[in-house]
Amino acid sequence: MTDAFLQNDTLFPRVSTRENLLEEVKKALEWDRGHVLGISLKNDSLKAIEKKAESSNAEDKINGVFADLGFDIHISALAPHSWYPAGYGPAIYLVSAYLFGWDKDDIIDLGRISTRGTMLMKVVMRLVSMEKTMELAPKIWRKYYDFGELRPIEYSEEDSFAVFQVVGYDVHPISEPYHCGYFSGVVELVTGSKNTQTEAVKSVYRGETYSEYKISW
Amino acid sequence: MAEQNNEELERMKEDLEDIEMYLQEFSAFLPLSVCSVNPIGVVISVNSAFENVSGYSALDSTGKRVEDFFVETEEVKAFLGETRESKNFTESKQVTLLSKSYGKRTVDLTASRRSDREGDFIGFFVGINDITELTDLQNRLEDKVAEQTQDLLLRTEELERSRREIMLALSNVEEERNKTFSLVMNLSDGLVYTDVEGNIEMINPQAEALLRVNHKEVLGTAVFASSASDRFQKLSASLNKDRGLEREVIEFSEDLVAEVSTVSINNEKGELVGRVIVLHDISKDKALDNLKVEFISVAAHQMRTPLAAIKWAFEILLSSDDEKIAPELKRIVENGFESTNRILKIVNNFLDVDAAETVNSDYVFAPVNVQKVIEDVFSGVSIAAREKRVELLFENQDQVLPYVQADQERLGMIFQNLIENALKYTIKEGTITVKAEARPRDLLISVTDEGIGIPVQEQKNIFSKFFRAENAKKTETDGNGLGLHTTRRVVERHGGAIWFESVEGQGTTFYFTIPLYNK
Repeated sequence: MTDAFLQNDTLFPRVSTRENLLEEVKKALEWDRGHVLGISLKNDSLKAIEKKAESSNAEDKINGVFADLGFDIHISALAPHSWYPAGYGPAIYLVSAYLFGWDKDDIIDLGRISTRGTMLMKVVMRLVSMEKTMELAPKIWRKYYDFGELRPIEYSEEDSFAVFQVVGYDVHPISEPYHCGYFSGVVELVTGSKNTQTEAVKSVYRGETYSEYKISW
Repeated sequence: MAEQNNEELERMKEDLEDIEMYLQEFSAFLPLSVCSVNPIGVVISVNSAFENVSGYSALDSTGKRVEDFFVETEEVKAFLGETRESKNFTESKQVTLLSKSYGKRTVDLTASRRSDREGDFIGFFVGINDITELTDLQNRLEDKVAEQTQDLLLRTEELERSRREIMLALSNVEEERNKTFSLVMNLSDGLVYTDVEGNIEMINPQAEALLRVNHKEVLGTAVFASSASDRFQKLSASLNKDRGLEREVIEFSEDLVAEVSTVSINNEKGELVGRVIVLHDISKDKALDNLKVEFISVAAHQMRTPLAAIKWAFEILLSSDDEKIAPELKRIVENGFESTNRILKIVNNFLDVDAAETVNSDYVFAPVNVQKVIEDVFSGVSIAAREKRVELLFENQDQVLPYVQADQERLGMIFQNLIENALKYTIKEGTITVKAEARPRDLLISVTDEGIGIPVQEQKNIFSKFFRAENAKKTETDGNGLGLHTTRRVVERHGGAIWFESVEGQGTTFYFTIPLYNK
């Protein structure tokens, strides 16, 4: 299950040094055109990081790195139903990649694992069928983000693929592999497929006006 | 207004968080393992109990097909299919959970159909109740019951087998009892069976006839004090309360002489449980013996005088001047003299028998020192014993034995016959042991040899007149078969008894009793 990410891997941020990390986190946190719901950060992403890193104190480590970088971000203090700057998510992925030496595929995997713990998404989307998922996708986006849009474009049950567009979201390039994995994870939950791939056929990070993802299974 | 709306939204958000926290706590507390499954059977969420029993975290469980948690995948799929069609809870199903932590666990699987607000099917809640311990307990109980049932069956079979064996044994016992009873009832000898105390428990028809009693009169009465008939009285008088009697010839009347013997009956522990008194009618034998004795007596007496004359004639010839008789003739005369002597000895033996069997013959009873008699006999046979390398041993050499009431010459004859026999039938080397034991009323004497023994089948005839065992004839051609017969008659004339124990090829012990001298 290799999700295609960016056509040009060089866009994946370099976070192997503290300086690189600080620069990338700053970029993420400086983005100020929208917010994300706390449940997405605290419940979904954090659980997935702990699982993937096989570390029960990942939260403490992440908090420690933020403190070291000079950011007052404490994951435990995040309220599930409060809104936070949209850059918090990518910032957490960046620190995790720095801490655990993750590459692009690891971030895709992280996105996929995140769907396993998303109670709200499961409740809202119900995950009963791809048709229903396509129908409810814009609604679930708005549950998580107060900006941007998730648009269902195309779905073929016969050919086993679906196409979504993400419009108005360009917080940080590391979000793209995360979203690829996330879309794959949702489709796996709905279809039971074990061989799902998501490709970013268009990307705002390559200069296009929106991102477009094709999910195949 | 906008501020009021914001406050209302904030309050609703807090309520939502409280509800979510409550649901999470409730889910974590709920002991029943529950998972939410979407319509195609993919696990969407699980509670803590499910994580514990399955061994998979929520993240690991989510996305797996629910049937993959179980051994019976097809059965679980079918079960969910039934649940989907059912409006209510389906009945639980027992399946095997493949737990990552605990291996195979037996669980009760329950499921309920989920619907959305519009009533559309949106999946299942699946519950798992771990009943492994219960099932194990039940299985152990069932195994135990099966084991005990098996044990019971085996025991029943054993009992049945034992019952059949007992019935067979009883049948055999019954058959044996009938055979024995028939044998006893038809035996030519008379039999009287008594308990330990001497009370008569059984008497066969022959004994009734011999003793002239009816079993109805004597059953249950004491055998030692019976006066049911004159003959029974005689029997009672002869019996010893302690030992009965070994063997004795009793002359019940002019027409009945019987050999009476007592046999002790012991149980498996060797305890005395009763006695059998055997009455063997020897009246005809006795009459025949009397005829033989009469014939022998007449013949012997008739022969002794001419033989004495012949012997005298040979002595005259031999004592005359040697020169008048040719050497060859003299040798013939000597042979004639020796032969006449042997014939005279045989004739004298016959006359001994006659004397022994004649009730009124001239026995002179007096106190006799047995040790002296034995020493004299040993002295007489010592040369022959040395020649055969046989040791003569008198065990009571250094003891003082009580005197017996006996005819000394005839007591000597008893020892002479028994010891000569012992020597004769000890082929070479060995020991002849004489032993005496003083008892309250008599002296029990035994003469033991290490000779050829008496074949079992011939033992019953050993005291018969002119009888010689086959192995004795082969060993010693010279013999007339009168020695033991005469010995027994002499012992009995003394009021004693004689018997023996013998193993062919190993030796023989003769026992006899002589009454003690009573001052």
